[in-house]
Amino acid sequence: MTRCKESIRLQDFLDGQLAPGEVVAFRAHLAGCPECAAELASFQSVIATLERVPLLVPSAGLTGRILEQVLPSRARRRRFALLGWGYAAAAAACIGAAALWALQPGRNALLETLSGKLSHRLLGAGLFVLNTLGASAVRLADGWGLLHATGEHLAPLTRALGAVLMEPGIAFTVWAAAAVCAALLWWMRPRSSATAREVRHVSVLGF
Amino acid sequence: MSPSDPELVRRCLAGDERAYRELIERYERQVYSVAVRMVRVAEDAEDLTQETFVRMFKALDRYDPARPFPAWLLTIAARLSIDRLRRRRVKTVSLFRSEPGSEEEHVVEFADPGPGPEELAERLEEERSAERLIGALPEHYRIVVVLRHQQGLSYEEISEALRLPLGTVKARIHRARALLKERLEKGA
Repeated sequence: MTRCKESIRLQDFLDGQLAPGEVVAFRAHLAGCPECAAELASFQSVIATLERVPLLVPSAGLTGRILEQVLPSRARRRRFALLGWGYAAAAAACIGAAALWALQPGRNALLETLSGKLSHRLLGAGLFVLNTLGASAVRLADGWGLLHATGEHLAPLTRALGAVLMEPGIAFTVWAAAAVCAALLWWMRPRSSATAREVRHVSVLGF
Repeated sequence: MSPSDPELVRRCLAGDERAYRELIERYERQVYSVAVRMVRVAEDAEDLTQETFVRMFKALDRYDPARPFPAWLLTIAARLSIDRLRRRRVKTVSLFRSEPGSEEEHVVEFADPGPGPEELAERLEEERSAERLIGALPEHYRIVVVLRHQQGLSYEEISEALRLPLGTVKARIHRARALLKERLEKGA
């Protein structure tokens, strides 16, 4: 059976896509074409069926799971937990590596030398500080010369600390720690986004 | 009176966590309905719903309040659903098939172990049957039908959501409705 040529306009008519003049003409056509009228009724039935389908309801816990992912306060908590685990893992790795290194044959002599040297220097530095404090106290009792005496006595302390810091292992550790701290402070800097500006209760530490 | 969508968005951007909850509760059923009708597995649809909201909140500062919020949100849901289907290639059984090299589609006949035509005609009146009809459409028709007739998006909004030319969207909706009409008439 040949379809009516006008039937190609049916769906546009249903969707309100025809120009006003075309709508009038198509209505007139429908009045005289039972085939198009029947097809129009069929399409209307299809659309009514589609629009009767209800919205579906997800499980009750979904809202909570989404909130857990998106709320800023919970996101911060997750970041800090992650940071904590990161620190713990890094510390464990460092301790493990140090223990493995120390357990290697031939490391004992080196460790003993290093620890002896360090103990000697620390002891020297401690004695020097005590000496400085005592001497400064005496100078203070004299009334003047405290600053001069402190400066004079701090010069050897600076040299002693410098010697300790010249040890490659210690110097590397100190610089690495400084770099990690600097990176952490950079990461925790106040953000300039609109959201961060408007959330007044959040401090640099997130509390 | 419940706050408008742009008002809720503004409050979310200001860090009001109650607004987050309200926005989710207002739209999670719509998003879930699109997802479940596309991927057809409830668990996957919940994952998609969650991902849709996560992405929406991440992009919230780029939302244009001049645009209807549901259309924007459903755009994210529709794109994610299509991506998921492409990645997973869900094995769906379509009632419509086209011959290789042809754009014409026809209803596939299945041996029907179920009820007879009279009973089927009664069931077609029910929501469940409508659900099956939609589910039986090929993916590229299903998404436009869901967005148009269940979520009420305009042709222009669907075109933008799916990154398709307006003419393609219109043609797909027309073709999908024609297929459904054919199926309904066969059922009747």
